[in-house]
Amino acid sequence: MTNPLHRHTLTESAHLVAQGAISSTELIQSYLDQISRMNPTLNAFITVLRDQALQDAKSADEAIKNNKPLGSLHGVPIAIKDQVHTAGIATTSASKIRSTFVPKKDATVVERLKNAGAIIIGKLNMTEFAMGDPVTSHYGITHNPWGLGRDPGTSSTGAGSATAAFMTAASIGEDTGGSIRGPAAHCGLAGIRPSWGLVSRFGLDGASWSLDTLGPLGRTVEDVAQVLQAIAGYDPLDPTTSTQIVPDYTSAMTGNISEMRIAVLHEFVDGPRAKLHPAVRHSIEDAIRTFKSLGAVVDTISIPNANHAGTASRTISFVERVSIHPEWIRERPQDFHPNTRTAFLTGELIPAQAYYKAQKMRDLIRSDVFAVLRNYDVIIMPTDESPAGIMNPEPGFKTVEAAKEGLRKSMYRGLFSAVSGPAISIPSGFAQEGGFNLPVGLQIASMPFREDLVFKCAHAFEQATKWHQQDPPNC
Amino acid sequence: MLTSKDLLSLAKAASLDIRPEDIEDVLLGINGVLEAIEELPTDQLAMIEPLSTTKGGKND
Repeated sequence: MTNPLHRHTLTESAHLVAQGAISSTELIQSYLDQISRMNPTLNAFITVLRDQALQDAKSADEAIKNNKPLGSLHGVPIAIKDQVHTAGIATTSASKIRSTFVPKKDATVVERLKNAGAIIIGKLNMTEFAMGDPVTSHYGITHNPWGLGRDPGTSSTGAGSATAAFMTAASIGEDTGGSIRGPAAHCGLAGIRPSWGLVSRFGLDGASWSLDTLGPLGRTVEDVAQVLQAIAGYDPLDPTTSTQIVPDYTSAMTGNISEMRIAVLHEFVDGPRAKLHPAVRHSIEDAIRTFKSLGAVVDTISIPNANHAGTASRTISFVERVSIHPEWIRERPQDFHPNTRTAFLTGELIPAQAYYKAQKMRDLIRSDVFAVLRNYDVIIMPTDESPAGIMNPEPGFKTVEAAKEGLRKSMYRGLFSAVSGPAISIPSGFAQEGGFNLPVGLQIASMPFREDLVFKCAHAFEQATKWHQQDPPNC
Repeated sequence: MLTSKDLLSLAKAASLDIRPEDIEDVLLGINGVLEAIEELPTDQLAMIEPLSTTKGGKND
């Protein structure tokens, strides 16, 4: 029996559609059937665009029949986190407050995906207002396909769950302090936080002005590179985007990394604040061996200030998040999930001196990281110190130490949020926990706008390992 | 470290109404941030001013 169409990678699907080997309508129908099968359990979608997607697929097939020029993503489905505007379609940020908001215009990211021929298959669940707590969505908890009740990674919960469970070929997430990389790691996917300024945020209901980035999650590094290629680049509607020319990412993925210099971040592996799960430790040691076997130079380096990356990035995001719509917490506090409400109140009341020190710390961290990256192409580190944990519906902290522990744990992904450089998470192993086989992720990061180096390294690792080929149970 | 009384005074000044059931969580959250900020390397921070987040790249 042949595999159903939704099990092809995005790159394979785009190729098959463009060649006329399969129709976009068949492909989209296969994904819609998978959504019908899996979404009632996983709750990854807030809105499924069933009729619109089939209509768009029909148009895509007509374009092929009439020899029209095709985009790189022609006829393949992509799902969008529900804080990204889609014209005429509700964009809720998984909140009651935004539940009736229907944008008039597509976000630039959505427009570029459509221009590349992609078919928007639905809007994805997330944590309320992209806060980092997996239980806050007004539309219910999203489950991890690798283990029901396990955190799919925040805040792009639906992006991780839907992509891993073959309900979409790829997805668009938003990463403030790790919200693409966390779901990628917990759901066994590739997901990249692009450089700040590479991808337009026009039409994003933002969380944190100086930290937010939009980027793709996919089942392979190549899929992620293909989607990023389609959405990256200057946008006059977003003055924070860079005017730099976007290079061809796929040409960087040669599989040959024998000239690469790779730094392993000591603080996140053996440092006094690192508390790695044994499976995560094993996976990073295994990754070092793999990179060495591929001919790369691999050295352990130290950036002591990386220990403070969680404090810096979380303090900044706490404050910036509430600055976007300060009226909501004052006028509609009852409409927030309690955990989101207390986080918003915290952000409102953090003293200016604390925010200022966090910004100084961020700059210090950036300088330290850039100094390392003058001698190395990439830095590698775990995406998270443990696999997906059990989701806890109980609100709040119990002690100040617990609050500080949340800041400490944020350092793994907060580091490159603070640095503003690209960071990808790719599957690098599994942990046996609570009867589940849970993925763990490896993070590869580099200088701002050096996504080519990140993809080159990640692709070579992926080709040399088989972690990305394992599928969640019952999918 | 802020006390509940400090917190409510700050909230009043910011036109925020904190529900009784939220006070402890907000207090713990803010005090967690303040303690973590105090652990930052003050001597190094004194030598730096925050720069634009758009700085960086291969020629930086």
